[in-house]
Amino acid sequence: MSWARRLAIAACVLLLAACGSSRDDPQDRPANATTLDRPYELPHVLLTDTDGRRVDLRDVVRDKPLTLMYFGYTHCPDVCPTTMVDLATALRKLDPELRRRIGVAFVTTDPWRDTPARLKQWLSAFDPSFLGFTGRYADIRRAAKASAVGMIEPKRTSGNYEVSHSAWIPVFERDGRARVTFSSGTLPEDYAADLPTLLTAAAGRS
Amino acid sequence: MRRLFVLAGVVVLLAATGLFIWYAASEEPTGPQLAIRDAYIPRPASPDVAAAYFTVTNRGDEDDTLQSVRASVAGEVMMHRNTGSRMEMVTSVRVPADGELSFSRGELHVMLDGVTRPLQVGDSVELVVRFEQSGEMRVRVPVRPIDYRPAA
Repeated sequence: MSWARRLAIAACVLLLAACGSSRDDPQDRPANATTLDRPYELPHVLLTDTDGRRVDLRDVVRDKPLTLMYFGYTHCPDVCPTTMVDLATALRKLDPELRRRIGVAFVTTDPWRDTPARLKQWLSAFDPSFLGFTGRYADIRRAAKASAVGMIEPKRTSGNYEVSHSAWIPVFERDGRARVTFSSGTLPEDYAADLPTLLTAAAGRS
Repeated sequence: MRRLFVLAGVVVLLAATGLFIWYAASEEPTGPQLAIRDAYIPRPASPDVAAAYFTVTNRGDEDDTLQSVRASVAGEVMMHRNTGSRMEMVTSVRVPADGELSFSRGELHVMLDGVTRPLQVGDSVELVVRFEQSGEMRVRVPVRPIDYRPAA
């Protein structure tokens, strides 16, 4: 183990200790998610779910107190599947009563290749309850932009098909707003630690 | 008596110093000395795309460079580095002397594109990893559960 890593771990331990001691903070802020200065507001965009139904993304997030949203693609070998598996692992750590109040919505950034059937199959490898959406690229981009997720249109040059994925997982509430966002490198236990706090905060607003 | 002790101490110290110098001088340059460990492929969710991760250790006194990875199970094999919201293709990666190079989730990975057969937990895939100095190394990479991470 390098000294830099030891130092980083020591810093984390100190940070955790500091967080632990401020538990009675009335704000009860999440420890790992980033609180947004201005909430993201999801636009009304019509997308297609994995059963081929047309749905408004705003209605999707209205269904549960919290919806974790990720923009990625199924040909992504590393970050997208790792993020999905971390979310699935995090949700399995929660009490089932809390678990069923949280949804996960995966929106493809590669609608040319990600058909509803492909999305469904891919998502079922992580958690069959995860929702998947595809649609017109312009609509997807509009939804992504509202979540501060930059998207690059896939370049279809020979042998190099480049698609972008999100580095963030905004947490939407029923009102279509995200007040916090996780980064895609967040560990399962860190999501799981924050989600009950976020559920309580969302319940206080509704 | 006390003087004798001091003298013995000095003799021992001199002998130890001599031994150390002799040992240090006898060390020949080794060049890079590579080994690959902790290789795995998480069971892919996608039917045609997978990622491989491993660590290359270099116990030698000279850097080496990883130049390419091949796999008969994939149409194309690429190295990618995550830059936040996109993947950057990497054509070579340094393996520092007396150090290591790690491919790990969310950072640096080997992309297997156009995977030709379903990869299930318990299967394994052979990768041929080519280094500038050390030549080719073959490694059998096991397919692990989708949520697998090697112990830190």
